[in-house]
Amino acid sequence: MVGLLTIAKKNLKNNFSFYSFYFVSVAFVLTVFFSFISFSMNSIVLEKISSDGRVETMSRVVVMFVMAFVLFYMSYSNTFFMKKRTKELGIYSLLGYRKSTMVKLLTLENILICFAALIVGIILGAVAHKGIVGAIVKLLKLQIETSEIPFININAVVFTFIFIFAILAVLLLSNWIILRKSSLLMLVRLDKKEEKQIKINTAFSFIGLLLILFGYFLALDMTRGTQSLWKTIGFSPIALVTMISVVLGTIFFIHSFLPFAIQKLKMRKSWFYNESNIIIIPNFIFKIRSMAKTLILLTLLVSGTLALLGSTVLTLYHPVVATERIIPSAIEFPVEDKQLATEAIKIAEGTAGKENVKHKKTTIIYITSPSNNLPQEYSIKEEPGFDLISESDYKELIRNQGKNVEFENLSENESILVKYRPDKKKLDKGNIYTLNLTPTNSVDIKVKDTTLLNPIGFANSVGTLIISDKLYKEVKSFGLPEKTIISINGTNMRESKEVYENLAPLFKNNNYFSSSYQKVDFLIQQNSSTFLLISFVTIIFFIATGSILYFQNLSNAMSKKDEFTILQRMGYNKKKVKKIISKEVFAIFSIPYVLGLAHSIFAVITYKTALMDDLLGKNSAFILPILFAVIVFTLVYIIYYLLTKQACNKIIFNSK
Amino acid sequence: MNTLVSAKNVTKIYNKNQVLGLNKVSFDIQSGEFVGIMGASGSGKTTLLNILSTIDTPTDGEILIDGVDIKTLNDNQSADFRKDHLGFIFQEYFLLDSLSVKENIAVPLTLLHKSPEEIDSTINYLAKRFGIFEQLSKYPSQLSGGQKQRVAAARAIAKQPSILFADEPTGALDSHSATELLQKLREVNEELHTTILMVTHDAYAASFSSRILLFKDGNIIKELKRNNQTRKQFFEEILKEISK
Repeated sequence: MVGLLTIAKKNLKNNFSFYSFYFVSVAFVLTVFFSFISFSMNSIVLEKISSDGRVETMSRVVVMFVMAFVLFYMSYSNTFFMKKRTKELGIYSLLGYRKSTMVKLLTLENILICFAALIVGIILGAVAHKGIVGAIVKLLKLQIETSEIPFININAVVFTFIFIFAILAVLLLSNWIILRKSSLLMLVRLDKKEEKQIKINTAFSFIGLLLILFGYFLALDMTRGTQSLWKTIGFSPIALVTMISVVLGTIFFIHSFLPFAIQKLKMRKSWFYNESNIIIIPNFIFKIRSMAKTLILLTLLVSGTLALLGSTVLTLYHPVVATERIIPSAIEFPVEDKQLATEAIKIAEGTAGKENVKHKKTTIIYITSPSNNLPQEYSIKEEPGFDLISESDYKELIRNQGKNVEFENLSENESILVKYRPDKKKLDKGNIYTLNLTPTNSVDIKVKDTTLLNPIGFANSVGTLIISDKLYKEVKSFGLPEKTIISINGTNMRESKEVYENLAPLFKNNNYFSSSYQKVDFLIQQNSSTFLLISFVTIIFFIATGSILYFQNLSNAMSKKDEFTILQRMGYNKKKVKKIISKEVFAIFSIPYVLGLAHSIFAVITYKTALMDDLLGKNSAFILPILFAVIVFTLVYIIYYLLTKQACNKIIFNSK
Repeated sequence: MNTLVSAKNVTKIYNKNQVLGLNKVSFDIQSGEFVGIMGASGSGKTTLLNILSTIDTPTDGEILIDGVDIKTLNDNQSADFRKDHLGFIFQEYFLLDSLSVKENIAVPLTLLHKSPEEIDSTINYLAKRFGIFEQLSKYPSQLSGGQKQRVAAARAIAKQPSILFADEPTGALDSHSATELLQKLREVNEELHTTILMVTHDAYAASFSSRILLFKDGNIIKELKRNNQTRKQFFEEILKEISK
């Protein structure tokens, strides 16, 4: 037994550079795992951030997910190393080692690595957990004595230990099965299998392309709104068809279309007869079938990671930006009690300084219309109708809010309609509406234009129609129902916590009192725990993607070490060989990236159209968060690419 | 004929046990010659080949190939030198498995930036010459050992190297394939005037060359010339010499 331990230690030492990445990645995975388990067992914080048990349920789901992933990751890398070592195991076998002894050796090595990684993971995980708790407490302004939370949660440690033992047992079992299945001949006959020349099926390759395009078409069909198949046939069946189509498409695309396309590229001799292409292209076609499974898995992982990250950032970011329209002024409330209103303005001025506060009283008039071409906004609210606002009130409010008015002066029978949702075609423009002044008396008004700049929050006014001051005065004299609203704006008012907190007690239980600060704060409170949990999943996806790419490339480099020696003998200098290596690594990295990016963009478009209420009509509100997700992902990806390239160079150039 | 390779007092010492890889070896090779190097394993013949082909460096001595002092070359220069001047055939073929026969032969030509038309016509010419035209679109794993070695030879000759180094080229071949290959090499030497330096421990293979350097313990112990003998007579002479 002592001998076995010595061999295990020596193996780890000799293959240090090889194992170090494995060790680092396992330690990293365990860090994430431990910090997440600590978090999900942290009742002090969970109680505070979740009132309805939503976060607990979500974190339970995520725990399952994380556990499944850790198991997958460990067995993937374990099998990978096993296969790399068949030759070594074959030599042991020739020397007379029993298979059971070899399994012991492998398990011993696994135990050494896992426990070293576990210690690192627990320490770093505890630090990460502490950091996460600190960040949440600060972000959500929780009243928690962070010193009460133990640095290392004993329950989490016990849980992690048990889990690792379970994983080690699974690995032992899988190693035993692999060894039992392999004969001595297989073990000795080298670790690289003969790869067969591939036959390319043209039909399959086009089916792949078409299936992907069909999936994209279905995804985009969502944007047709009520006429789309998603509405006419149903959401779930179309979602299922889209998913299946894209996944199958990806499989055929990578399996058949890619080699087909590259095969065609070879026809261009002036491009193909080039010192690096002539090596890279055949290598790639040769390898693609054996790599196809990995590439498909990676593409789906990349799509999943990016779609998840993109939609989460979008869900967090978009409502915050949309607050600009939902509550256009910093503070807004209807005047029900004049004294209360005066007091509120005083408090605001007292808190922020009189010179910093712009308050404006606006009266809107409710009016109905018998026309039959009425806009959607007319019927959104409880009692269908228009809210009339005078041109000068509108302009003053918009300026108070720090925005520019989009139209010139109105003539008497012209109006501007404030839209709830953006409408690029401006379908309402030019319509003529009849407004009922009295049951017998009415006035016709033409919609000169529409605007998205609503002066008053949607809680207080929808279907707002801006009319000239002259007409407004006339209508007012008829004594129709009215509502008076006070809007408070001013420098830094939208972000002012103090003004909100000083005013809020005056308007307890008043649903029409709205504050942009409060709204944004509420959104962050609501979404940050979701965001946090999703971040865990995303990080784990990142590690999975990166590590699989790393291992795959390393294994390619090892199997091709001899070929690079031949190339060097033929007169390829170091620079040329490096160029070939980096191009080959780049090709393997770029396929899942490009395909996954495309998949996820269509997924996010569908998600956005299906589940998000677009009030802004600005592409930037969608593009910015998605771009953010893509940039973060790309940066992590580039780091993995550089690490992988370096490791491959090391394998090729370091002799023995 | 002019001197293509000139080696003077080439010495190689492997640090540890002070065993001499090569001990002050000197010889010349004229351009257009077919020279064989014979010796048992450990006699220094592979060391010499590695040094001549710029893969290894001598401890001492001077080597000029095509007028270039190969000791002074750095990594990149020696890679370029191999690219422009040297061709190789190895016992293990060293074909690139993922490349077709045609692509394997094209590699050294792309390194020299030849035009696609020139590459194609060179490949076709050599493939016919080496009897592998039918195999051009096949892959190394589909070929027999003899075919593989002929592909390797065509690949080595494609760029018209100043000198072709062959390291035990028949070592892994059956006698029929070996004869076929050796005949091809001699044809190439006679008709294309390619200079060939072949390392072998096999007297039969060596008998195809025109001059033989016999190595033992890092020294050249004897030089045999074929002159006007037939290959068979030369073979007899070699056998006699090595059984001494």
